[in-house]
Amino acid sequence: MNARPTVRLVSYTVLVGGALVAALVLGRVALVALAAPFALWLVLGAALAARPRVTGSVSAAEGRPSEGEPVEVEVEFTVTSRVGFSRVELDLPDGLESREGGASRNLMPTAGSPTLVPLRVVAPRWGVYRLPPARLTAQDPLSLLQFTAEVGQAQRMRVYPRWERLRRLIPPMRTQVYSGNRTARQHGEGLEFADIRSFVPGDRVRRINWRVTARTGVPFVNDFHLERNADVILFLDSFSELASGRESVLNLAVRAATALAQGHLRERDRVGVVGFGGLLRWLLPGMGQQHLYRVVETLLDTEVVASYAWRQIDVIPVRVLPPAATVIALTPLLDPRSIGALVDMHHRGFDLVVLEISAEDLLGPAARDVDQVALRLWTMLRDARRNRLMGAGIPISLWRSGQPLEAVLAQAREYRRFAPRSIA
Amino acid sequence: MGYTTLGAGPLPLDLLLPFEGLGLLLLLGGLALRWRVLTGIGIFPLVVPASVVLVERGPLLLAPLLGIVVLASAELSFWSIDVGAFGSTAPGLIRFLGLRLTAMVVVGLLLGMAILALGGVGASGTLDLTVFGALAAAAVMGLTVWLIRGGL
Repeated sequence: MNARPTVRLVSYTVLVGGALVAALVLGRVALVALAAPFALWLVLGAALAARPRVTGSVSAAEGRPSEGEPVEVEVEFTVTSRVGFSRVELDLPDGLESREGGASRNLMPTAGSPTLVPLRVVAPRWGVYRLPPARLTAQDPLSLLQFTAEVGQAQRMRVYPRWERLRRLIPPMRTQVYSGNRTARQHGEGLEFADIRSFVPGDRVRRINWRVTARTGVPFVNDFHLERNADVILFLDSFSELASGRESVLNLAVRAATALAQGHLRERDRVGVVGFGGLLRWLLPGMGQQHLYRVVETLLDTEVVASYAWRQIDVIPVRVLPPAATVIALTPLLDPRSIGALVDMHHRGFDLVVLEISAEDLLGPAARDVDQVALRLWTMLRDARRNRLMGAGIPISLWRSGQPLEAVLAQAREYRRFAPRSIA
Repeated sequence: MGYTTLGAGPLPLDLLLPFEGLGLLLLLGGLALRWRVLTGIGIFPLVVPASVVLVERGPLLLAPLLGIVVLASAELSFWSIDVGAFGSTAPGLIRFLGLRLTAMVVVGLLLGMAILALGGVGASGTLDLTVFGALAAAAVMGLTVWLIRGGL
């Protein structure tokens, strides 16, 4: 451990030295008596002080903490020689805050025995955080020297977004070939009644519709809709970012994407992710609970990176955007590159749903008159662009600040019910 | 310190008050700003003028008392900065600091009285160089031991 003298040591030494010199010069023993307690402190402190060695580790509690959930961080260390007042603290990076017990603790560790210090931190926002090594500051028993050392190694702490559980999702227009919970257009074995047709050799006897057969005298069978799953791709626009306080476009998009992923995976759909922005990220579609955590971890790595490179969707690997997939785009519709990608996907025949995160609500009120005029003009331009896109057949649901995601999805479902279907 | 600053004791208020007031201010400033350096500096305006007046006018028996009062004030200030300002504190630590301060104050007072007694201090306040030399030598030896043990 690194050692340095404390303020006590310096001031007591100066005081004792000054008093002894003054006593010698002035010939006054009272000055020696006055300095005696300080001299005693120095002598005893010198006798008891020893540079300790420390070993230890830092570990965050296992599990998958959500944003706003306190995380217990345990610091365990052992010092080799006797120390007095000590403090263990974590220098928290931006984005992490301390809670209740705080990110520091004053204590007096016992030499040779392991000391366990629980600290609590919380991340108000999802993401990946670097938890630094703990800093141990110890003093000798009479606090004349201060020793410092780092305990443990830095580690990454993942904080997952909180998501609302969705009761109803956006039903995909087309299904895939794998078994799932969705009613497909194709007929075969299933639960949902589809049609009645003539019996052909090979049909099961249990499917014969006896009423129709009795009426017509010719065997007829019931046909059912197949139960299939769908491919759902979550398309996140990470070209631009707007923030107001703790809320931002990316925060809302990630939380919504997590909720949609969880809902669709529950329905046994395959879910993939595309982060379309300065840094292109993707996750191939997959199924199951494990895949949910892969999706969330891909989303955790999403960040807005400034870039002037022009991107189109042909840079995305084909397997990431399977044909007949339903693409749910979460975007503020600010960057022309992301708007171009959406138009491109629509023309390529993808089943596209756009959830527009309202940028106007995150801007806040305009301070000056000229700002108000500019804001109104900008809002009008955005409305015109949105109407043009909707006129081209791209369904856009506007997600206003404070509105629950369920309401936005209900809007999208209504639009898809009545909009002309351009997908075969 | 309160005894001298309030002027209840035999020491002249008009000489002591500005310096002791400055010392008190520095200690309080150190507490408010959590600067141990202010506390370390604040000890001197408390001790120096009071000890000068004490030595000149007496009574010399107050010398060890003044020493332990300043020591206790300084230690409580350092303690407040270390413990009170940052994070939570284990109960054993408070007990340890309390015992440490109490023991050093008591032993320091006894040591000071013993020095006065061995120095043959009466009303005249003359210095016995033999005792002083022995004490100074003990202090030097103690500091030397500490330095040899790698204290700095």
